[in-house]
Amino acid sequence: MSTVRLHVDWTACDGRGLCAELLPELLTEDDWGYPAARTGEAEPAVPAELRDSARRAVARCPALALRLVQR
Amino acid sequence: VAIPVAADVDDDRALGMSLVEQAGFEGFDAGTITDSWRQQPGSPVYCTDLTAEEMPGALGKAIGERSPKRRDLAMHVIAELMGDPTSELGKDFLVRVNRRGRLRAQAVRQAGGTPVVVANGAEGEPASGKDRVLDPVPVVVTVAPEAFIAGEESAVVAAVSGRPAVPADKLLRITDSGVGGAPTLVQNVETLAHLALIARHGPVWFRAAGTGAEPGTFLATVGGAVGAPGVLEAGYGVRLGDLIDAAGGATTPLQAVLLGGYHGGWVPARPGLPAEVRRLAALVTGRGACRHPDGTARLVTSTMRTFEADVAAHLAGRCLAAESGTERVHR
Repeated sequence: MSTVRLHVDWTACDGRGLCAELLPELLTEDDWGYPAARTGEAEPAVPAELRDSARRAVARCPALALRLVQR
Repeated sequence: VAIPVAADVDDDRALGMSLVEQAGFEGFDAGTITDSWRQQPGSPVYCTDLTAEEMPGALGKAIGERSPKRRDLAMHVIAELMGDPTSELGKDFLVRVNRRGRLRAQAVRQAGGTPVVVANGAEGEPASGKDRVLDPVPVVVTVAPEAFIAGEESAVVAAVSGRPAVPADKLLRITDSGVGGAPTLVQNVETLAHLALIARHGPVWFRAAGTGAEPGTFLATVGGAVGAPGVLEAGYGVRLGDLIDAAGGATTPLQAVLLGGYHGGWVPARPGLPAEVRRLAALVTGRGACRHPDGTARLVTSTMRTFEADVAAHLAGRCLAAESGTERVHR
């Protein structure tokens, strides 16, 4: 019963903001432009209908700081 | 749970063991009365829940010359804790005393010993003879570079593993996979210092300082525009003014104070303000506090300068938390 979740590598993330733009359903930006899950989770669950968008966000992150994980 | 039984006559020992077994425990043949010092208070088997299989090893770990001292210490600690009505005395109380190392920490301290063995990378054999300490677990001390980010838990794990002490992506939690892939607990030195004293003096003593919601004391590094910058210990809820006075007083009229270091925020320099996380949180997150000084604000600028230099030196773009902290202060 594992869930696909979006993981941010905070040592790599530079707050460029692409992910929040590509995945507005899941992400917003905090005061400093870094991604923050709308749910407040550290690793937000990615629902099936957002999986493709999430994959695109992972691929387009300029800092390669995003990845999808199974938890 | 095995109970060691010693006697000089085999029949006597058998009788003792049968009584133990009737009581629901497992009798363990611990030899003669001459050898029975190995199971006296303070010894490795005393008041534990070891099995019969573990018993020979634990009896073998008893050290004759330390036994009287350990026995006296054990009885002292037990008497002290039993006599303290606030101690949590469950049915497994004595087992907990022995297991949780309360006794060990105390015995080491009272014996004037050093509570760690510095094995410095060496494995296996603990120090022998006079240098031997009561805790048989070898301790390895790893010195990390003196950098702010070196204290972050994944940086600590990296340093202990022989890698540069910088934070890493926590794809797995440190508590699940840390040093060598083993579950790892990273503890703050201040926490451990508190624990040792709580073990020694009990929870009531600890709660005598601080507030009901935030008991105990904390270490505050007071710097900037004060007469005697340094590290102070104060109870939570201490008035900001008292803390500043203890650090030699303000050397210039203060308008704002930065609390909580790198992750903190500015609060107005009101002497009556209590240093209590719960109450200050609201003020700090308002973030208006650091804009408040519109006059000289020398504390602000001088701290700010030190602060930025520190961050620039230690950070090198590797720690997001600290970076956001800095940006937050800028606002």
